[in-house]
Formats: sequence, C-alpha cells, structure tokens
Amino acid sequence: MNQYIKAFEDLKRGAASADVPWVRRLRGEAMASFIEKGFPTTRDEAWRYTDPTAIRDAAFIFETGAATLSQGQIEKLNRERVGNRIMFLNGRYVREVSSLPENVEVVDLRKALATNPEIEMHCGAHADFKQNAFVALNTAFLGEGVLIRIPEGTVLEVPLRLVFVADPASEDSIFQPRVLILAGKRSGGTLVEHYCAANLKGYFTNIVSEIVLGEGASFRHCKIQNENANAFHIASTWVSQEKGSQFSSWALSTGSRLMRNDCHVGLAKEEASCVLSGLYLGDGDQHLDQHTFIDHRSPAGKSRQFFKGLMAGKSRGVFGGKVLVRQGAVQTDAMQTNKNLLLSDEARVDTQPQLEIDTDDVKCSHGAAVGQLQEDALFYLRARGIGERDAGRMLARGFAQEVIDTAGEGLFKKELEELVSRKLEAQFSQS
Amino acid sequence: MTDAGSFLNKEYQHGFVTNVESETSARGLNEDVIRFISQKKKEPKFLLDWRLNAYRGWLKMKEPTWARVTYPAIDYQNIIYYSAPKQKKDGPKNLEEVDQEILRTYEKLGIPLEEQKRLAGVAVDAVFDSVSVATTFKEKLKESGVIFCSFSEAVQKHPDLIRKYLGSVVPVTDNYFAALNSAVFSDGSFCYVPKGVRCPMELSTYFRINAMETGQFERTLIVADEGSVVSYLEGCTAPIRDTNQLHAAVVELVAHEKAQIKYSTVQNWYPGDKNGKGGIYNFVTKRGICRGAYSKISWTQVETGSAITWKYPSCILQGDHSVGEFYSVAVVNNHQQADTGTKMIHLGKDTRSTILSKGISARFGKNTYRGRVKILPQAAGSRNYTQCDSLLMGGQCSANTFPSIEVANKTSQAEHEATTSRINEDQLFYCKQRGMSADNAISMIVHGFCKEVFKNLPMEFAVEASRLLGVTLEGSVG
Repeated sequence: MNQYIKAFEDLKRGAASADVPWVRRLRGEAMASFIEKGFPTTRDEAWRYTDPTAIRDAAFIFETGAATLSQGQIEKLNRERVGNRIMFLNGRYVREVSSLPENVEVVDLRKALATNPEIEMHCGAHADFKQNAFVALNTAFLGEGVLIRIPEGTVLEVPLRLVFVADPASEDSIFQPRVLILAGKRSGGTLVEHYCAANLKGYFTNIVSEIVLGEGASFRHCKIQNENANAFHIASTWVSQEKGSQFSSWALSTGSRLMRNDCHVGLAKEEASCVLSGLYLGDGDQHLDQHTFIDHRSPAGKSRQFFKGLMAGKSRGVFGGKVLVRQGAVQTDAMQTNKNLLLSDEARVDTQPQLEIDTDDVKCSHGAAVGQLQEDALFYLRARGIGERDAGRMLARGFAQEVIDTAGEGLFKKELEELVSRKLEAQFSQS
Repeated sequence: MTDAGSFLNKEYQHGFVTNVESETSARGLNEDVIRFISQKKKEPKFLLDWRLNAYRGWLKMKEPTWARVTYPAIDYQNIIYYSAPKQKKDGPKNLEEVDQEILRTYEKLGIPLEEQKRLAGVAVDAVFDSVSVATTFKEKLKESGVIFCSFSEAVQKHPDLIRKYLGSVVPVTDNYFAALNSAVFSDGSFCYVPKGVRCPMELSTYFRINAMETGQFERTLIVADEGSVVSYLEGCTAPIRDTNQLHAAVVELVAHEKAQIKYSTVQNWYPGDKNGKGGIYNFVTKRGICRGAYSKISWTQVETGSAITWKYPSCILQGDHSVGEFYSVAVVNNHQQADTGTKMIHLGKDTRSTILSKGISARFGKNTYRGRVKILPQAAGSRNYTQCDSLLMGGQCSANTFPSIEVANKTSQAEHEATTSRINEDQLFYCKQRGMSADNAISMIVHGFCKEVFKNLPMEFAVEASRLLGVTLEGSVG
C-alpha cells in the first residue's frame, strides 16, 4: 500500500502537476477511495472466492525506464500480425510498432487527457472506482493507454487488435494501462485485446477499459488473456450502451497465476443488447475468476451469457455473474449459463449466478452446473482404442467447442481454437 | 389486468388478543434476566452455564447485515424476554386444566385440541407464548417409546439427552440470532424417536405469539435414532400489533444411521398491514445433520407471513449416502420481505441433495432466494439439483436469486436452474376465455406454480397452505 501512496505523491509533484484540473480531481478522488478501502479481502462478498492478498503483499513498483523493443522483436511482431494493431509494451502505448487504421482516431491517452476536454464525460464515468479498489488504483495513476474514437457511421473492415506485451525488467512491476473506446452512432467493427508475455518474470497487469457504444453501434470484442504463469491479471471492462446498440464479447482466459476478469455492461437505453461468452481453462495452481455484471436500466434490453470452465491440476475456477433488472426496465430478456468441468480431484469450482429483479414484466433465467467427463462417453472412446488421456481431451475439446462456436466465423475464431487446443494439451499432460 | 381494489382490505384472520395474565421478566437483557428465566424453569446448572456462555458470545457479535432486508434497528434492551401464562398449579395435567381462554384461542385458529385428539391423529404440543400448555397424545406416543414433550419438560425428565444434543447442530455462537436464542430461549419442543421406531403419528406444534412486545424464542430439538422415522409439523400465527415483534427460533435436527426426519412448516405470522406497519420479524436458524449413513432430512416450508423472514433451513450431510431436501414456497405481498433459502453441505460420500424453491412477489414485496451448495473434496460421488423459480406480480416488487455452488472434487455434480418471470399472459387469457375471473385464473396458475412443493406437505398442511396462499395473494394483481 505504502509504495502506491509514495508513487502517487511523487507523481503529483512531478509529471502530474501539469494535469488539467478535472484529471487532477479524478485522480485525487480515486486515490482517496483506494486508500480508504484498501485491497479487497475474501470477506468482501464480490471477492469471496478470490483472495488478492498475494497482490497486496507483493511490493509492486512502477517501471521508470521506458522499455524498448529490440529491432529483432519489432521485426518478429511485424511478421506475426497482419492488420491493424495497437501495441503496448509493459503497459505503455508504443506508437512506432503500431499500425493504425486510417478512419479511426487513436491517441495516446495522456495527450488526449490534456487536450481533449470532451472525454471528461466518459473517462472515469463508466468504470466505478468507488466500488472496485483495483479500478481506483488504475484511475489514480491515469495516464498510460489510448483513446480510440470510431467516428459516426464508420465500420472497421479489419479487426483492430490491441496487443499488450509484458517484458518486465524486474520481478515486481505493475502495469496499469487504460483504454477508452468511443464508438459513434451506427459504427461497427471488431476489437481484439491480447495479453501475452515475452519472458517468465512475474508482474501485475491492472487494466481498465471503458467502451461507450453510440446509438445503433455494433461491436464485437474478444479478449485473449495469455499472460505468463507468474503474472497477476486484474482486468475490468465497462461498457455503456446507447439505444439499439449491440455488443458481443468473447473472453478466453488461459494464462496468469491469478486472474480476475470483470465485465460490466450497462444497457443504458432501450433495445440495447449484449452477448457475453467465454472460456476459462486452468491447470497447475492457477486461479481464474470470471465475473460479469449486466445492468438492465432501460426497457426491452436483451442479454445473453454463456461461460464455461475447465479446471485441471490444483487450479480453481470462479464464476460470478449478476443480472440486475431495474424498475422500469420492462420487457427485459436475460439468460445466463455457466458450466464447468473438473478434470482432476484437486481442482475446484465455485460459481455464483445471480438474478436481481425489480420489475415484473421480464423473462430471466440462469443455469449453472459443475460436473465431470462422462464415464460412458470415455468408455465409448476407449473401447475404440483411444487412450484415456486422448479420450478425455477429445471430450473436453467438444465441451469447449460449444462456446467457441458462438464466436461466429471471424478472424479470431481460428486463433481461439488453436489456443484452446494448446491449453487442453497442457491440462491433460498433467492430470 | 384486474382492478386491485376488491380484495385489498382482506384482513389478517388470526388477529385477536387473548387476555391471559402473564408472568413476565423485566424488560431488557442482562445476565440476571437469563438467570431469572433459568430459575423460573428450574433448570440444571449446565443449562444455565450454557445460556450464559451463549449470552457472552452474543455480546461480542454483530447483527448480520448481508441479507436483502431493511428494518429499523432493533432495541434488544426494549424486549421482554420471558412471558408465561400464570397458572394455578404447577402445570395442567389434561385438557380440562388448560385455561379456557387459551383453548378458545386455538379454536379460533381452527385447531380445537379436542377434535384433533379424536380426528386427525395428530399430537399437538401447543406453545402459547413461551410455555407449552397442553400436550396431547403423549400417552399413545409413550407406548411406542417416542418422547415428545415441551422443551422444559425434557430438561427436567431427560437432561442427559438434552445435554448430549443441545447445540450440537447449531452451536451457541453460530450466528447472532441463534446466540440470542440460546441465551434466552423460553420453551419449545423436544422429540426423541428411539432405534427402529416409526413414529405412529405426525407430530405437530402450534406456535403463537400473544403478549405484547415479547419476543418468542423457542427451541426445537428432534433426534431420530438409528432406523427411525418421524414427521414433524410446525405452524405459526400471531395477533395483530402495531409494533414489530421479534421471533428468533432455533431448530436442530439429528438423524442417525438410516433415520428419516421430515420437517414441515407453515408460517403465517402477522405480516404487518398494507402500509408495512407492524408485523413479525422472523429470524430463524434451522439446521439438520444427517449423522449416520443412509439418513435423510427433508425440509418443507410455506412462508406466507411475517414482515421480515430471515431463514435458511440447512442440511449437513455427514453420513455416506445421506440425503437432504429443501422444498420452499415463499410469498411476499405489500411490504413483506423474505430472504430465505438453504445450505447443503456435502461431507459424506455419495450424498444427494435437492432444492426446490418457489418465490412469489406481489406489490412492494421483496423476495430473495439465497442458497449455498458446498461439496467438499471428500464427498466423492455427490449430487445436487437445484431449481428456483420466481413469479412477479406488479412493477414495484422484486425477486432476487443468489445461489453459490462450490464443488471440490471431480466425481460430484451440481446443477442449478432459476427462472424469473411474471404470470404468462397467454395462460391468463386462456383461463379467462373459458369464463374464469381474473382472480380465479391467477389463483389457479399460482397454485400450479407451487404444486411441486405443496405435494411434499402432509395432507392437512397442504390444504391449509393452499388456503393461506390464496388469502395472502388475493387482490394483489393489478
């Protein structure tokens, strides 16, 4: 805790002294809220199954020297990814290796904060730092990151990919990027967030994204979390949807030692709809926590959720999904499904699907299940000469495929399939 | 839909006050009050120590705030913790000796003891405020070796059993209200079914809060020894009062190997008037333990009354192959609030649990299902199935579903399903088109919604429950 307070004071005296007043105020309030609440513990209902004390106790520090990529790395990156790309290295936006689409405005967040008064009404307005200490911590050090603005009526032809590469110099770095996406009326496209690491050192990613969809906008979002096995990954995505907008999000979580992924969608205006789906696959002693919160605030909103977990080794999976239907949000249609497979005796799953409904004209349901691979299905395969491990993997693959199929035919579906296969390989080689 | 006016003024049917002189303790709670209660009841020293221990634990605890209910702070020093009807002698030996006034009260409630004795084959241990006033069919039960008596009597006659089982399922410091109950409980029922005995009749108690501003803190303990079977019914009513009254009960069930306990409740405490004034605060801790292999505990509850309900009948499935069940209908109308559900803790191998919860919210009612299914690593091959449905009537009511499922081994399965919706317009239309009034149609659909739970109630109760449901919901649709 102390190192954050000290870093905040240093920041206030140093770089942040030039901040515009509203940014200074926002940061100050966020820091005050963070100091007051401190890191959550398992006594907090929202963190009952995920204990972040390891993050609290680790002495994470902000890296000072700007990390650079070697020429070789840059070339490798350029070979790997075609299409539009926004690169982050150790939480910092690196303009030089990014390839930006022409019809979209991508600005370094620090610059946007200083020069663009219009973003005041969005930055920090959707991600609620008062209820989430990690959001407060991120907001207090607001600066790294990007503003992405998609103009009215613009449809991205190629997915826009945000790549977060961690290449920490020490074992205890904290990266706190922030992404603000403002999508104009009737705009559309696909956004992919990809987290990976260049080495095996431990670090802590604490990212906050705010996505604002204008009237009739339609976006697909994909988050691939493939951090290294020593990393802590805390992420929260806050989506606000205007009338008739559509948002579909797909989250694949395979990496990190401890992950908490929060997706918070506010259906602010009528007829907005969202589809959230995802897979979390754990092995070793990974702890993967997927949380969703859908806030139906206006009439005729629709939400769908479909999450699955596969846990091997001594890993723990957590799912918490809440659907809130406020008074007046009539004709809401909400559905949520969470299914989990336990692949080993020491793995564990805790799931909490929640419905909170304050009006009567609704149709809401949720379902959750925890089980294992079916004995007779395994037997069927083994009777045909397939080894136990391969049979298990095939069945698990089928279980996962149901969610992957909801990703729709797109550029990232193939990538998801590949990543899932690779992870399953690892899960079944252990058990 | 229909005009709400017609049935709005349906009043609480059981609201009358019986004038019986009460012998009460001083207002407030301290160690002296506990000693007074203990002395009044001529309790052995171990029980007094147990109560004091609970009281000291309670002092260190905080009132829970996690439930989705709101109520003004309770002043625990402004409650009279003991109130007993004054009696001429030490205790009535038969029905004739029971205060006629009290008997008339029961008659108004529709449970004339005399008639019950002849007709229903139900032994009623009627708890009038805090002291059990009459126990019927005791002799008949005695023949089969079943002990069924008031808690105070059990303390005098079977102190060894009380000592052995009291607090063994709900420890004194389990939670705030259980600790309070442990400190000040005044009476309740005790039942022991010996090895291999199938209890010859359904056991039943009728609780009624009578004196003004007294809390009712009853304690129920049921022990079913190896291979025995018992079914227990509990019904509750309270007269109309403007102030809120506190009811903090504790029920403990112990099922040994191959024993079966079925516990049914119809709760119809006074819910407050239509503006939310008055009503009972029903903060109850109910828990059963399946101690032996192949044992079974089944909870069935119909909650239609109380201003606030805070109640989670739970099962600890310790014995291998043991079974836990929870069937519930919770109805809230006007300003009632209910936060209820269950906990199923799977410890033994191949244990099974079923949860079926139906919530109905009308007007400004708030209904919350809160459940936890926990399957521990050693509980291999365990199964859980949970279904909870909510029905909403009116744009201002609410229904919440908060389950947690924790599974820690790869041979167990847990399933949970929940739905929330209002009454299907098509079904309503269908009924109305065939000449039914809207109220009748709604009543029919609601009964259909609750049927799966009602069918688990014993016959006599199913009829009463279904009648209560109708009364509670009449005129609530508009």
